[in-house]
Parts: sequence; C-alpha cells; structure tokens
Amino acid sequence: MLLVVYGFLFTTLLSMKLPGASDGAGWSAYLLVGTLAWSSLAECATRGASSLLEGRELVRKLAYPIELLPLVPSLSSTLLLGSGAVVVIVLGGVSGYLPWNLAALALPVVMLLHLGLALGLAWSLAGLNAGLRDVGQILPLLLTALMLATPVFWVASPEVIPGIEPWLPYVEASPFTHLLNAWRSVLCAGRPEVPCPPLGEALSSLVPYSLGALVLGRIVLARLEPLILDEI
Amino acid sequence: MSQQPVLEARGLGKAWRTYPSGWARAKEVLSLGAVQTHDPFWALRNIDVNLPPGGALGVVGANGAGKSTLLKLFAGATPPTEGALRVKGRVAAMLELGAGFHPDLSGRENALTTGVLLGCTRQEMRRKTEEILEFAGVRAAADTPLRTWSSGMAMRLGFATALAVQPDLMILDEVLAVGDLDFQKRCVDAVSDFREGGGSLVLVSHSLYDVRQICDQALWLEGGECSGQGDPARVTGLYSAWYGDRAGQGETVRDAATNPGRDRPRITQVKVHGTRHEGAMDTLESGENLSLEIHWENPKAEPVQLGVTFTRQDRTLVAASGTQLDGLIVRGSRGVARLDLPCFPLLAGRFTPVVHMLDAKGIHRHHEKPTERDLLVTAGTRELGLVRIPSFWSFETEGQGDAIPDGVNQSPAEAKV
Repeated sequence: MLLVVYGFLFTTLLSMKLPGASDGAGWSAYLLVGTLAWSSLAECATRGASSLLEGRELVRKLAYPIELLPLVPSLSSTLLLGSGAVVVIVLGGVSGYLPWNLAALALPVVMLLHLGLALGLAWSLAGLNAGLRDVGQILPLLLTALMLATPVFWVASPEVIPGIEPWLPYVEASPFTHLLNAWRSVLCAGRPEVPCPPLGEALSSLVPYSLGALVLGRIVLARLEPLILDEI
Repeated sequence: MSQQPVLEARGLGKAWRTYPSGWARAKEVLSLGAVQTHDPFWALRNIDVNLPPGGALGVVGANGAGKSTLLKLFAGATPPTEGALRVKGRVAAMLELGAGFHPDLSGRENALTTGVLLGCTRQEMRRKTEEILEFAGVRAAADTPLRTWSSGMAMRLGFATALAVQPDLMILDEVLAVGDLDFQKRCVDAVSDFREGGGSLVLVSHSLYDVRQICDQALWLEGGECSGQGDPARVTGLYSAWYGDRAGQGETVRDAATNPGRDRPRITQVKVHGTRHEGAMDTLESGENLSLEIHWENPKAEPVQLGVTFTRQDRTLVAASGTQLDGLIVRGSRGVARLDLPCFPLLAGRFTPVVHMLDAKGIHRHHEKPTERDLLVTAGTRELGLVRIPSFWSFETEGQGDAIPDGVNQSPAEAKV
C-alpha cells in the first residue's frame, strides 16, 4: 500500500526516473527494496530497544539471559524481510517488472548479513534503553533522520542529484548504505538500470559492518549488564 | 547423596545503584560504565550461608531488611557486588508467584512454558501438566487465557508449576500465604514432601510459625546485616522479641511508672535472680527459675499489697502475681519480699517486670518500680504463643491408629515438656 503511494509520488508526481531508464519500473524496484529493507531494520531497532524492558519479568524472576531477548525481534524482522524478498522475487519475475536473475540465490547470504547488523543494533539499543529510558524516547526521531540521510528514497549519484559529491564520503561510510546496496544487488539484478554495486562487492563490503555491529552490540550489552540486572 | 552444599555464600553483599541526578545516570550508561557516577546503596552485607542438600533455610526480618535482595542473589536474578556465592543444581525461584506467565496464553500453555524455562523437557512437562492443573485446582479454566483468571488462580498455578519441576533448590518469597486456607495447607504439605524427597528450600516468610515448622536453619536480617542465624526456634524467638521491642517504641510501661510521695510506702530496690546479664537486658531461658527480691519501706507502717506484673513492649499485660490475689497482706515499716517464679512459663519475648506497691484494698498505687533492665526470655523450643501451658495428651484410637513418639519431628526440647 505504502509502496503504491511512494511509486505514484515519485514516478508520476515528481516524474523521477533512473538515468538510462525509459519508464519508472526501475525506480519503483529501487524504492521497493530500499523501503522493505529499511523498515525491517527500523522495526527491529524499535522493538529491540524495548525488548529487555518488555521481557524484564523473565530477567528479574527467572534469571533469563539478557542477550537472548533482543534476538527475538532481530530474527523475526529478518525472517519477515526474507519472506518479503521471496514474494518480490516471485511476483517480480512473474509480472516481468523484475526479471529473474541468479543473484537472487544470494538471498540467504544477505539475510545473514542483515541479521548481524540488526542483532548488533538491537543489542546496543536494548542495553542503552534499559539503562537510560530516554534512548527509547528519541529513537523514533533518530530513525526518521537516519532514513532520510540514507539512500532509501534517493540515489547517491551526481547523475541523479547534482552537487552531492561533498557528501558522498559520509554516505559511503554509513552501514545502512551498504545494507541497502546489498539488498538491491540481490533483488534488483534483473534491472541493470538500478544503481547498485556488483553483487560480490556489495556483499563483501557489508561483512565488516555486520560483524562490527555484532561485536559492538555484544560489548555494549556486556558492559551494561551489571547495571541492567540491578535496575531492570 | 553428596554433602556438598546446595547453596554456599561467603561474605555476600549487594549494593544497588542510586544516582544523584538524571545526568549522572546518563553519563554512566552512555559511557558504558566507564564513568561510574552511582552511589552504592548497600542492601545486604557480610552474609554467610551454608545450606546442605535437603536443608531448609528460613529468612526473617522486617520490611526493607534485605530479604528479597538475598533471594534475588540466590536465584541468580542479580549478581552479588561482593563475596562468593555458589548454587548447585536446578533452582526454581518464586520471588513472586506467576512470574514469567504470559497473560495471553492459557493456563496449560503457561505451565508448560514456565516448566521449560525452569529447565524441564517439553515431554516431561506435557506429562506433568494434568498433575499441575489438578494441584492448583484450575482444571476447569485450564484452556482459557490467563488474563481472564483471578490473581489467586494464577498464583496457585505458579506454585504448582514450580513444585512440579522438582528443582534441587526451591526459593519461595512469601508465597505460602497465597490462596485459601485449603490451598495453603496443601502448599505446606507439598513443601514438606518436597523436602522429604531431598529437595532444599529457602523460604522468606513473615509467618514465624512456618519458619519454625518447615526450616532447620534460620537467618534474621536487619538493615542488610545478619542479626541472628542458626536454630529456627532460637532465631525467630530473638526476632519476635526484638520486633515486639520495636513495635512498642514510644511511651513504655517503664516511663509510666509512678513516683511515690514523701513518707509514702515505697519500693527501694528490686533484684532479679536466675537471669544472665546480656547487654541492656536480663535474659532467661523459658522454663528456668526466676525470682525477684523486693526491698520496701513503709514509714507509717500502714498495711500494703505487693504485686509484680510482666508487660510486653506493646503494653500487653501478660502475667501478674500479687499478694492480694494470694490472700496476703504486707505489714511493717521495712522489709524484703521474695517472689519465686519456678519454671518461668512465658515464652520468647521481651518483657518489663514492674513491682507495684498498693494500698490494703489494692486500689491506690503507692509506688510502681520496674526492674533495672528488661527481661528477655528466649525459648529454644518450637512452642508457640506467649505462655507455656501445662498439657498432657492421651488417646483412645480405633483400628491400627496409635500415637507413639514420632522420633522424626520431635526435638529433645519438646520431649521435655
């Protein structure tokens, strides 16, 4: 539903087209995959941030290991995104809007990398929010700002947005840019006009971010664990 | 059975965190604990516990004494700040009944998932579910979501589930007091069975009766520190004496004693015999002999009555003895009276003995003088109440029944009575 609105807004009203494309189909695919992946990650961040507080009964009374609670939203959001991706692949291929491509076989790989990033994010946010409730309060604002700062609705290329060059290093440094690139490389390979790095490059550049997020999340949670167990 | 303790604590202490301000908290959290801005609030310190397999520890203490903190440490719900803690085997902690229950799941599903969380296998729990529902008396509602249940039903289910998982150590916080009388009785029976089956127990209860009956060691916490530890009868006796003392703060019988007028009959000195002087009190084991030596003066040599009352700190008059009650009258201008109280029958508690000198009719109080120190009575037995009543049992039973010494529950002290 949201995608229909976005598609209408960007292709018809704003008549945006990808460079080298005759119609809006490539742009729609670009938007579709971007929003799917982003909304899954954002949902995981929101639910992950509150996961320890929601499961506090388990932690307090059954001494449940705290690192398992953020795993629930991470796994469920990633699996949901994965099944969404399967639907996109099947329907895209059947309708011809998104022709089948062998790159789709890398879906499990990108899901695994996505899970790493999502879980790392959920661990960090869950720990911080359990110690400091304000984190959960400002998170929606932060996520909206991040969404706009990440190439979800725009393309990080001077061909599409003239004058973006000074900002490109920052965009390139963002783990979320690499996440969306990876998803688009896997799902949009049937439409060469969709701008994304080659599959191998897109996936391998996401690996350090994914692992880094996991390590960071684990450190944050471990450092805050004594405090959380006292306060939750 | 190995004699390695199920629960062993050495110098255990727990400090909760308090923050002077919200910013201080933010600094500590956002620096991931690198900046420590909290002030420690010691809820518990220097606690030593050794609970052998099959043992039962009762924890008593006023609100805020650190009982729940101690149980949280035992249950592993919070790490100790100092000291060493070792817990062996499967622990089922019920710090609050119905913990971990989900309101949208049915009673049956909740029993199953909780059992699995406590470490049972799914098959094991499926087998036991009927038994659990039966024990909790909630079979009729077993398949309705828990949010439609009454709180009592949920608590009963929680208790039944924890019992069914057969833990090595069961931790109960004030949970024997849930449910109706019938369920409470079944709980106590089930806990006894659990212990007979070799299970260990840590119990927090405000019911000193339960602690005395169920536990074989007791720990009295006060302000986070151990105020008494060991035999449950002794520890609960000390605790109730202290508690009665605290409850009676304010005006005491001691303060209310009257002063004699000039040249009026007066008590000059009261000596207590048969007690040990400990701290600010004279202590006496219940059942020992007590005697009071009362020195008196009566310048006008008018006939007077003497009396002694024992008043608890909450101003309950517990016992009294008077010359008038025994049909006596005291004459003379000065003298010493001796009151012997053999086999002192009051049980554990703190009492203020007051000597009264009254007119011949026992109406006007010439003088009241409390003893120098309060009397602390300790009771090493499991007897309950304020006094020991002389009692003898005899039976006429039919069939195979007979009342013979049990040999299990009977302590030497009980045999004496």
